[in-house]
Amino acid sequence: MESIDQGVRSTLQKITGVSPVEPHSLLREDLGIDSFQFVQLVVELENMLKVRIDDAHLNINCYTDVASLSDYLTEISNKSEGIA
Amino acid sequence: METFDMICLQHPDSVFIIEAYTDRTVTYGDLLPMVNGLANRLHEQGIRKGERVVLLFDNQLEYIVAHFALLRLGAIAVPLAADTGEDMLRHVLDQAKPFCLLGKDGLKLPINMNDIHLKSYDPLHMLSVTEQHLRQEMSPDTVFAPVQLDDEDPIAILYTSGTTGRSKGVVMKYGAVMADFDDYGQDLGFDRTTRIIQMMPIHHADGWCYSFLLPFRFGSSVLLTPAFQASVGANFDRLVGQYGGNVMIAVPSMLKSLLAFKPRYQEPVAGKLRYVLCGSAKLHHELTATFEEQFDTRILENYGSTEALLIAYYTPDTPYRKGSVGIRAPRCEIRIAEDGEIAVRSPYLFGGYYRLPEVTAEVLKDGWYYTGDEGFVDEDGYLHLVGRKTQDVINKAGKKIAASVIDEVLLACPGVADAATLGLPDAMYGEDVYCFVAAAATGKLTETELMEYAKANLPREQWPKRIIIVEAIPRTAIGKVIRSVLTEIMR
Repeated sequence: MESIDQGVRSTLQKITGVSPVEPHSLLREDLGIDSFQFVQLVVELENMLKVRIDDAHLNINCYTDVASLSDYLTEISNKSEGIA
Repeated sequence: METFDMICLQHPDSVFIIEAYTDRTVTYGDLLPMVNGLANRLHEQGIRKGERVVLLFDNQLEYIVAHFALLRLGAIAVPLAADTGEDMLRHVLDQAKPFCLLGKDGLKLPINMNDIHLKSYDPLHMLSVTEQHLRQEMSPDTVFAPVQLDDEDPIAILYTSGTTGRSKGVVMKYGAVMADFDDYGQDLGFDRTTRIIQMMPIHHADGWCYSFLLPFRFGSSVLLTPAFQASVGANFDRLVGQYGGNVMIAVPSMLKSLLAFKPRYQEPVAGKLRYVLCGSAKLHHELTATFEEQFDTRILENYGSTEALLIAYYTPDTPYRKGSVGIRAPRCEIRIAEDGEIAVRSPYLFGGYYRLPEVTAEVLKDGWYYTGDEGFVDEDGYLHLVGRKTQDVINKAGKKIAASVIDEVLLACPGVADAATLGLPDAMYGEDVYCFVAAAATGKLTETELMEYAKANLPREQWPKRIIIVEAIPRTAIGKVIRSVLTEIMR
């Protein structure tokens, strides 16, 4: 099973066409993610991980790089598992 | 501009601007003294009719009030994004030679203002506009005697998206803008109950139209959100529910994003929008059908440009016709040139590209504006687009990108012998940027290196989706790129 980090990177690779996507890759500066791609990323990651990103984190500027996005998703994924 | 006072005073308690999420509002009754108060301050600063003033705001109420204040003064607004980069800002300052800059509170400019020395004013200065200032400056008896505006007077210069060097300032004339807004607003049935969800960037032509004089003319209200981003799309149910938005202006990519977010919505969204106004980029029939079904609304496509404003559009009463962008605007003449190019003549046309008479003459001939698009008008008056005369322009989600400029950047990369950039169909943007590169010495360049080079030398929206290394760029005997061969490679 893919780890969250692997899932994030493979999704980013699919959306941006950039390969490889590294943990330290910057979402905007390195990968060129724009507002429409970020929407696609959010929806695909939410569906894949069965999580809900809260409104405060629906801003690309919340994430400095790929690793910080993975960290946040890991955090909310653990929380939702805890609730379940 | 007596009309301005009249409209403001007709229904003073009606809301004109609502900022979604901050809940800041301006009523028509507040707008008048607020605009007059700022106009007085700007007049004291020396701003007079014909002076250019750069506006640097996000999608926020201060921008709208500032723009109206400039209109009262007869000054010409030059709206730019608040985060405009250094090169673009320098380009505009150099060309427009503004009297001053008006910006949002706390704005950090990418240049040192003390370094800017325009011919007439030294140094260039910036004034910030905040709601607090605006409310302090207003009182019920705050008056300002507006200058008289003639139809030919410019009221704004809108810089086209694109590259720094080639970004052109489109001069918007008072009479043309008002004629277009009057016709379009009437045909759409705009009235006091219309509340436009405005998610486009306000410095973009669409955002400019729908957050300023168009809704104002009809006593409508503007529901202003930040320029479209995930948090806006994810809360769309609040925009049509809590905030009462009932008309939306969008580009096709936004519709796709809203469809993607629809499962998140907690409040009903179906049937809330009277219609959606959509243009700027190719709208596919399948997207139209899906969105209309899911949101129980009607998408009214339109076709136009910053230079010509609206050329053709649908109204709520226009039957849909697959493949057409709508019916010719009422006072617009359309002529199809021998080579298929669409030319238009109407009272809505722009006043030329600012300080670029030669460039203007290339597209504005004997009162006809040549759009660069190819199409035809069918027997029932519906306009159909079939292509573009020049393949140089790539339309990425409504942003026009000059392919030749990307080629120039790539050709400057050491080891590149030839380059050709195309706009190819893309599911998200309608079109995206694809670059084909022939290396001077095969094997010495990689696509990754070229992509890094492109990213370092191009604005983000112009970054290629892919760079493909080919042995040679296929060209005709006269050097024209044979697009079909390159397109075939991608298949």
